[in-house]
Parts: sequence; structure tokens; C-alpha cells
Amino acid sequence: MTSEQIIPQIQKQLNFSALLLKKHSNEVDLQSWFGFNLINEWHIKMAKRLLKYYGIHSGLHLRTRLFQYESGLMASASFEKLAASLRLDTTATFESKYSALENVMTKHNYKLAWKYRFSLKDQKLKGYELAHYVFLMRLGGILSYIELEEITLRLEEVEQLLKTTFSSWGAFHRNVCIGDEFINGVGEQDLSSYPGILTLWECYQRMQIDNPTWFKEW
Amino acid sequence: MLVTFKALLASKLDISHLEAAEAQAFLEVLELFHVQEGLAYNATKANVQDKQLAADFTETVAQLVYYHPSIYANEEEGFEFVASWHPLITKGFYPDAKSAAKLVDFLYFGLAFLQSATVSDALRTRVFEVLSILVHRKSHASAPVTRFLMHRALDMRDYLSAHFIMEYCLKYELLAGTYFVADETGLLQEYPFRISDTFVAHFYKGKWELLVESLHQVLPVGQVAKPGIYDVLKPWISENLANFYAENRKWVTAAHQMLVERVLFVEDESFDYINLRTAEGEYPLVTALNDKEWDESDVILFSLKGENITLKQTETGFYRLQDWLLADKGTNFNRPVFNDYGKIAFQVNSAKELPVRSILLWFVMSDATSSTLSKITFFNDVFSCLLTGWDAKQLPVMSHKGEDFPVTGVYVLRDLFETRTQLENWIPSFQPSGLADPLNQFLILCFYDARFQLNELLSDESKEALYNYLITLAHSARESKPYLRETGVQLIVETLIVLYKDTPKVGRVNEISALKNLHPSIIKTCEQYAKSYYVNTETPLEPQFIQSWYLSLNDYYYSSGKELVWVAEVLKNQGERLAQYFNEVKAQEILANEVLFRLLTFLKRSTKNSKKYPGLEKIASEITTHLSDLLQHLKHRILFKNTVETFHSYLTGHEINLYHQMQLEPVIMPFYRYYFEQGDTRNVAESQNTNRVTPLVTLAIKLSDVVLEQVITDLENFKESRIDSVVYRTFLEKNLTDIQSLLAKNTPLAMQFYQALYLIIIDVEAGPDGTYKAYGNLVRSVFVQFLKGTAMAQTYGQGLQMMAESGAYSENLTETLLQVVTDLKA
Repeated sequence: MTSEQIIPQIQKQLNFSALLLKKHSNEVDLQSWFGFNLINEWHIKMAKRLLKYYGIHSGLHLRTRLFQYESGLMASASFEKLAASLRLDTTATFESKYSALENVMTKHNYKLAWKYRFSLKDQKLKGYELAHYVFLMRLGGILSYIELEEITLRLEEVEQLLKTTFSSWGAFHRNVCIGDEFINGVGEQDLSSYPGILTLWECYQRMQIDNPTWFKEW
Repeated sequence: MLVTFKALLASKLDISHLEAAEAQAFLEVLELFHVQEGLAYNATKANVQDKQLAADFTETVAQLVYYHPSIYANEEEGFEFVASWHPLITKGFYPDAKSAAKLVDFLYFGLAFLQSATVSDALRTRVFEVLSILVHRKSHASAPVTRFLMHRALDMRDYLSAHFIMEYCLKYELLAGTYFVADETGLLQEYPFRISDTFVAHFYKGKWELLVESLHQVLPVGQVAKPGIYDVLKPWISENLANFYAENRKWVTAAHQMLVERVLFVEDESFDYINLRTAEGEYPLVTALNDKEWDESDVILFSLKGENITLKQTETGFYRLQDWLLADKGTNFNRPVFNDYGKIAFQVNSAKELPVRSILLWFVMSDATSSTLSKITFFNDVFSCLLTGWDAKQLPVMSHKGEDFPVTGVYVLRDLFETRTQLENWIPSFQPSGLADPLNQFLILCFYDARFQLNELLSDESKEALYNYLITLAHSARESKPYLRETGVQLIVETLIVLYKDTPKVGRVNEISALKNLHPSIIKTCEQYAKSYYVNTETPLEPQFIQSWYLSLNDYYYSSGKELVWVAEVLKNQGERLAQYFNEVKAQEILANEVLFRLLTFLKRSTKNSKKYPGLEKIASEITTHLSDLLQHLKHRILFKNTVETFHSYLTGHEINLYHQMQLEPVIMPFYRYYFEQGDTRNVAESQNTNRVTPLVTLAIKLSDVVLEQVITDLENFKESRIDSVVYRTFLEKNLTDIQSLLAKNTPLAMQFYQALYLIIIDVEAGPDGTYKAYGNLVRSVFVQFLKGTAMAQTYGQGLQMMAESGAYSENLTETLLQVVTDLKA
């Protein structure tokens, strides 16, 4: 089934998850259906570990996760809730709210939500969520939790959704990065982080260099 | 040696008092020694001369020959003397009791001399040959000589002599076969060398204790890998000895001690002795182990039990072994004694040889979380016999109190596990090892076997733990061997289905039914289970429940109908029921409209993608049918105005498939009129949804082959598709010319179409008196309309005529058929 040809349109749809795949492993082949190599034992192991991390043990779990990402339950909802609560604040009231916080992670989230409270009012973190959606489908395909036919059908829907939400690859990828920052914490280059672990922003830059022809036409 | 005897015979013997017959016997004795001269000979010869008498070797003669105490004064001469008896006793001239007693006295006295180097091998050999004959031949010497040999051989005070005698006993089989003892009347009786009351009476003054005591003393002594006293007395072992132990338990402890010493020092396993067996089949030395607190020596003895001993007798012993293994955190497993001996007790051919409570041992020893690999391997191997019924989904038959005991899941969970019944305390730790772990396989079998009782057996917490356990195991089956996978998944699914038959937890139902992808063999079961949960008229409809129906539409759609197949069932025949629910229950209008919007969304999607994904076409028709069912029975007020508007615009828009339009039009238009056309007559319209067929102004949608194919398919299955015949009438009448031109271009499709119509015409149920007579009416007229004047008309006309005249149909239908024929010709 992996021998099925990837036509340019599908490649484009698969690329919605390129950034996330790159983040998880630099070895992935972005021009394959699943990114990970099916004959490479280590790749399979890594895919299994990732699926386990996302709590996916079967097609049912996978589809439930996909539904959660699709319907904004994974990131958009909490972002929107926070952003909405900040929209009426002035700089001063926000400052006081912010300084009253103690948890570093919450502080970080407040900062992000404040920054993007208007600009992401409509888009929310949909880009991030749908990138995950595609990413998980590719992972699930490795263990046959989902068939190629379903992947392509879902990819089409994802593309439509993204096309109506974003206007360019740049905007989409920015959303992915912001989402990742919101969910996982600081994403900007940080010298104190472990060497070898790339932030999403770094992956983004590298990916642009590796595949100069992609990500032009939205 | 002859010298001695000759000298003896020639000198002092007084033969004057011999009877003639005795003299004859004495003469023969002399002749045996070739003594044909001398005083005695001549005298005797004279005595018997000319008398043809039978020789009579009487006591007197015997004493004359054998009773010469003075010779024994010199040990060497004494043995020479005894050795020289050989020719005599081979001829049947045996010593009498008195001489025998004297002989034995001498033997006791001279035994040390006999072993010394001064005695030549030849003489020694000769002496034992004589003794052998004396023991085994019928004479008064047999008993005393035997007693002498036996006592010396079993007397540990003089080990050298005992050993010496033992060696000759083995060489000449001295203490084997039979011996002779005189009864009260003086008659000699033959007895075997087997321990019995008489045996004890003959040699141990009737005191068993003396015999057993000496056995216990002599047996632990010996040389490794060389024949010893045990070989001499092994043939003596008898049921009587077993009886003695059975009745005198305090001697058993000494016997155990002795046998263990034999194992350790002589390295001999004394198999026959350990397995002493009474006439009733009891093994007293083995069963005695049952009452003890075990140590290593008992492990040794127990492992030497024979194969034929009944399970009833060894069961307690087995449990003692189990206790011993479980003591001290199982460290006894690593002792050499377990490796060398204990393991033997676990060599079984089938589960029937294992007592049922040994399951517990398995669970402790093979627990992957706390045991070591060597233990796990060994015990998994031992208990693999419990899984022989895996393919048949059966628990093994083990033994309990010596009887076959079919293990049941309830027994294991309730009676055996006791504290372990609190599954939540331990079963999560079994999860990670997956289906490949034999313990887990056994557990699954147990749960499966007890599935109908699990609800009463387990607490709610335990059931939660069990659920997680079973689901995890099922998922682990993806990576296990095929035979494990198939049966394992089946067992798990069937257990879960029983356990969660009437659960209110939707998540559980979904998760269980999603296990279907693990193996083809359970697809049906899983789907049936989900269906019985979701499509069950006994489950009252609740808003949440209805939501779950339509949320599932998502996955159903994306998987092209491969997942959540029960959704098809909901779409097919729950429309009316749902409509009734919305009609009756107040304040659910929002939900109703949401449902309709959702259905429409997926109808649009599946219609749009059906060209690329063939599975979606079916979904589109299913949704259409469902919508049609639902709207047909729904009261007008339930739908919001904007919903009706959306549906109406879809109906008249360009996205819709003509065939779907055909089905939906009659059900949507009444709603549309209700809101937009007949504002004053709402109540009238609400009460009855009649007159559904009103012409509709639509955009010109081209009729395509695909749509027509769908129509034909549904006509072929007109009984199942449940589409009102009026719908077809409208569709066919409205598109008559389009259809005709399409059919003209596509002959195979035309043939299929005509054939479908033809089959309906000749269907009894579509006849004038049948359930589907409306169909019959429609199709007959359509059939004539389409076929009249074509080349096909004649063929079909003939066919119909034949059918009509076959007599298989009722009068009414026959007439109708003939009418069609006439119409075709007209």
C-alpha cells in the first residue's frame, strides 16, 4: 500500500505535518506517506512510542484523537478561553493580572494569549491542531490503524479547512509554531536547552533550506 | 580334605548300633568318599552284605557322619571338614538339626578365620558352595544356616564380616529363593525369602522391630556404585513390610532418615524401599511425608516416589513441596536439591497429574514483576500443560483429592485466589507482559470461563481493573503469535461483551467493538455487540445517546463505512423511531435540527466525494433514506425555519444527486409549504403529511447513468429499500424522455432496467393482492411505456404469457399478466 504514488496534491497535503515530523525526528522522509521508514526497526519503534505518548492503541483511539484535534478541543479551546478573557483588558490590568501569576507555564500562556488575543481571534490554533491531525494520521498509518483511502479522504477535508482559515504557508506555519509554544512552552531559541533538540522555529528554518521549492504556493 | 574325613571314618566311628538300612546308607557315604577299606568299611560291608536294602540316612547316621565337634577345635580342619561335605550333600545326605546347630556354632566362631588370608580361595569357595546347598535344599540345616548368614550380613557391629558375607550372599544368591523350616510335626516346609510374619518368626523371634531396626542400621552403610546389602534384601521387600510401616508410624521417621542417608552417602535411591506398597495400594513411606514440616531431605524422598502411586496419596506431599518452595520468598528454588531432585516431581504428562492448588504456585513463581527469569522459564514450562485447551477455549482438568477436577474460572477466581479476588491490587502489574505471557493466557481463559459470573464475583474496582487489563492485552495481541492472537482476542472480546452487556458507558462499548480490527474472526461479534447497544429499541432514547449516533457518523463516513458499521443500521431503520421521539419529547428541537444539519453535511460530503471513493455512494443513499424516513414522520413545527430553508436550497441546488432529490423532495416540500406557502393552514398540514407529491421547480440537473443505476439497484431490492413507489412514479414520469434516450445509448443498462421491472411484474407480492401492489401497478404501466414498440417487447411478451399460463399464479395475477401482454402488443 505504501507503493501507492504520492501525487503533488497529496504531497502538499502531507506537508501540513512536515514541521511536526521534522521536530520529532530529523531522519524522516517527508516525501513518503508515513515519514518514518517501515523497514527500519528503529523508526517503527519511534512511531510506536509516539503513538503511545498520544494514547493511541487502535484505530478507535486514533479517530477519537483526530476528532479532538479537528474540533479544537486540544488547543484552540483553551487558547480561546484565555484570549477571550484578556480582550477587554488594558495593558495595565493585564500587567497586574500577569504579575499576580506564579506558575511559569501559566505566565507563559498568558503572555502568548495576550500577544495574539486579536490576531488569532478567528484562526485560533487551528493550524497547529490540523498539523497534528495530519501528523497523527501518518503515524497511525504505520501500524495500519487507518487505511490510505481514509487518509486521502481526510487530507482533502483538512486542506479545505486550512485553505479557508489561512492565506499562506507562512501564516499556517506561524500558527503551528505558536500553537506548539502555547502547548509545550518556550519555543524560541534557548541556549540553555539540551543540544540536539531543535525547537520548532529551528526546524522551520532548516526545512525551508532543505526544501526550497515547497511552501511557496498555498 | 578327604584325608580328614577318611581319617575320621577309618578310626573312631562306632557303627555297631546301626540298623541294616542305616548301615547301607553309611556304606554309600563311604563309597562316595571312595573309602573301600579300613575298619569301618569292612564292618559295615559285613553288616549289609547280601541284604538288598534301601539306604536310610537317619538322624543317627547323619550324626555319625557330621557331628564331630572335636574337629571344629581346629578352625582350619573344621572348614576343611565342612568343605568336604560337598559330595555328600549334593547326593542328598544332609546334616541333622544337632549337627547343623554345631556347624552354626562353629561358623560364628570361625568366621573371622574364614576371611583371613590363611584360608585358600578354593576352600572358601567350597565352604560357601556347601552353605548354599544347605540353605536351599530341604534339610534341617537350612534354617539355622540361613539365620546365621542373615544375622551376620545384617549385623553392623562387625562391618567387615557383614560385608564379607554380603558379597558371598550376592555371589551364590545365598539369601534368595527359598529356605526350609521344620513345622511342629517335624516336617520341613518351604518358605520364600520375603518378609512376612513367618519370616520374622523364623529369624527374628517374631519381633518385627528387631528386623526393621537392623535394616535401618545396615542400609545407610555401603560403597558408592557397588553392590551392597540392599541388593541382597531388595527381593525380600514385601507388602507385609509396608504394612508394618503403615501401622507403626514412628518407625517411618527412622526409615526416612535411613533412606536419605542412603541417598547422600551411598548415592543410591532405594527406589523399591521408598515405594513400599501395601496390599491396599498404600505407600506408607511416601504418604508419611504428608504430615511433616518439610526440609530438603523430604524433597529428595518425595521426588523418588514411584509412578504408580495414586495422586490422592501424593497430593498433600505435593502441596508440602509447594509450601517449601514458596517459603523464604522462593529462594529454595535455587538450592541444588531442587535442581537435582525437586524438579522431578514436576515432570508430568498432563494437567491431570497436577493438584489444582498448584496454580497458585505458578502465579507466584512466574509473576514477571517479582520472579527471576530461570524460575519463570521453568514453571511456565511445567504449567504449559494447563494451556492445552487454549484452542478449544477450555480450562484444564487437574486433580483434586485424587479425582479428576475440571478447573473452572469461578473456582480459580473465588476459591483459589481468595485475597487475589481484589484484582485491582495485582492485575495491573500483569498487563505489561501482554498476551505472550502464559500466565496471562491462563487468566484470560479463567475470565472467559467465568464470564457469566464475573459481575457477582468482582467488585466495581476489580471490574475496572479487569477492563483495563483485558483491553491492554487485546491490543498487545497485535504483536503476538497468530494462534495466540486469534484465540486470545476471541476470548477477550467474548468476555468483555458479556461483562459489558448492558453498560451505560458508551466509551466502553466503542472501545470493545473497535477490537474487531485485531482479528477477522471477531469482526462479526464486535459489530453485533455494538449494534445491539446502539440499535436497540429497548434502550430508551436520550439526547446524549442520539448525539452519540450522529457523532459516530464522522468515523463511519471517513472510513467509507468500514468502521462503526452499526451506523448503517441506525440510518436504515431508526428514522421513524427518532422522529417519534422528537415529536413526543419537549424542548429537543435544537438537537433535532442539529441532527438534520449534520446529516445534510455528510450527505453533501459523501455525494461530492462518491466518485473518487466508491464506498461513500452507499453512505449517501443511506443518509438519504434516513432523512426521508425521519422527515416523513416528523411534525412540521420541530424543524426551524432556517433548517427548512437550507434543505430546500439543497433540494433545488446543483449539488444534489438527482436520485436523492427524487427521494427527498416529497418529504421536504411539506415543511417548505408549512413555513413559506400556506401560512394559514399550519395545523391542517401538521396533522397529516399526505399529498407529498408536488411538482418542484428545480435547476436542470442532467440525469446520469450513475443515478439511473442507483434507481435500478433500488428497484431490484424494492422490498428492502422501502422507498415509496410514488417516488419512482414521479421520478420516472418526470424524466421519461431523458431516461429513454439514456437507455438507447446504454444497452446493458437498458437490459438491467427491463429485467428489474420484469422481475417485479412476475413477483407474487407485487400482484394485485400482494403487499406491494402499488409497485406492481407502477411497474406494469412503466414496463409497457418503455417497451412498447421495441424489439424487446415480443420477447418479454412471450415470457410473460408463458408465466401466466404456467398455472403457478392466482387467477387475479394471471389476468393482470395477460393484460400486460395485450398492452405490449397493442
